[in-house]
Amino acid sequence: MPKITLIPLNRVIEVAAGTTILVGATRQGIAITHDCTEGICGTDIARITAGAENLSAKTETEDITLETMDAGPDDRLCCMAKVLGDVTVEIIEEDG
Amino acid sequence: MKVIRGNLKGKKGIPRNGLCLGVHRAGIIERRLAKKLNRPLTIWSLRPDNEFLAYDKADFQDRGLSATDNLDEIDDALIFGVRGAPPQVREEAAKRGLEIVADATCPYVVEQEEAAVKFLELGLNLVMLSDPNHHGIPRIRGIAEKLGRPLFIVPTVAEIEDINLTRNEPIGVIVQTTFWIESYKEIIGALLDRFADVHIRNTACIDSLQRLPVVVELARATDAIVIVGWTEGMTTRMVETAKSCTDKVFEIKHPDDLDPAWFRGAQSVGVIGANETPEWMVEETVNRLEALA
Ligand code: SF4
Ligand code: FES
Repeated sequence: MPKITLIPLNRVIEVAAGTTILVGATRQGIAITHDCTEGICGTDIARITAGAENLSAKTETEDITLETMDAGPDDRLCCMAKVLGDVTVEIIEEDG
Repeated sequence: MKVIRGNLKGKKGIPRNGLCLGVHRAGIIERRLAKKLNRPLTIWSLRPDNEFLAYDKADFQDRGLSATDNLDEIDDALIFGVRGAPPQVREEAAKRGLEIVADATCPYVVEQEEAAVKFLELGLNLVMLSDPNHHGIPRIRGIAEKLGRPLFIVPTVAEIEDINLTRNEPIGVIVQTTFWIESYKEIIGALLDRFADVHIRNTACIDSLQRLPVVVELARATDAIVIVGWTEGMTTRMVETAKSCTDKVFEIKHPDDLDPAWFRGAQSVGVIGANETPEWMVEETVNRLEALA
């Protein structure tokens, strides 16, 4: 099963292939701030520091939301990115 | 006098430019399309006069974008604007064979419509917690009317009395996308007291959940608060929410509207923009207040 390494928590979890990062983490009791779960609100932006190629491709919805949130090239939305192989995900916390 | 700007930076779900995600996203969609299609495009909008306020109007016009609420003014293609469109308008556009090149309706507005349709299809009586003057009402009313059903609008606990249903008739409650969560909880509590079969879908948008608490924080921390905005959705909610904390709430549409007399005796003043207010307007307001200090 693919592994998600979550930083800065330093937790490694295993998820069934095709699970989103958000659902995978939630099932293991790890809370990631989120709202819509449909790739529109941008609250669950995370930076993929390794294994980006092991995530499902961005949909147009996710792409527009990432642009709306001024996201960087390595950023993804946890509710949209499905895990297909090992990834390392940095959860970006609110700085306000 | 100390001037404090409401801190929206880094709030999840609020774009860095301080607009709400629905408005900023619609602008991105419209700009992407105008560039790609390279031909004049018309936005059908519930409020065409305001469609470009958040952006540079001249820039949009240069790119061949205009806005209207009259389908007669549209020849071939249109974009639905951020505030969405009632089903009757969508049907009429389809009947006329107009091409919908994009739907920039805020996804939270879409979710709210879907929740309304779902509740109505389940046979529930639709109750909407909302200011009756909100621009979103005609859309939801249009959806209910299409299905031949009433819509009960409840802005405060007092209007629950006006719902002419018996205790066991089922109700489906949705909420205006822009609504203060504390009022929401209060009204839901009162609905649970009065009705026995209550279905709830919280359709408040992320901007309400994030921006309004900042308004409260700012209103509590300062002697007076200036809200820069003009929308009857978010701006009105921000003013209402601030007024629940302090009497000194001033709503302006432009930095020119500031009146120094408002701040006499104030040690501190807070400034915050609404969901369609461009950053320069908030900055200019802060600068002018600092010059008074
Ligand atoms: S205020 Fe909320 S519902 Fe309205 S456009 Fe912005 S995000 Fe969408
Ligand atoms: S939860 Fe809204 S974009 Fe993922």
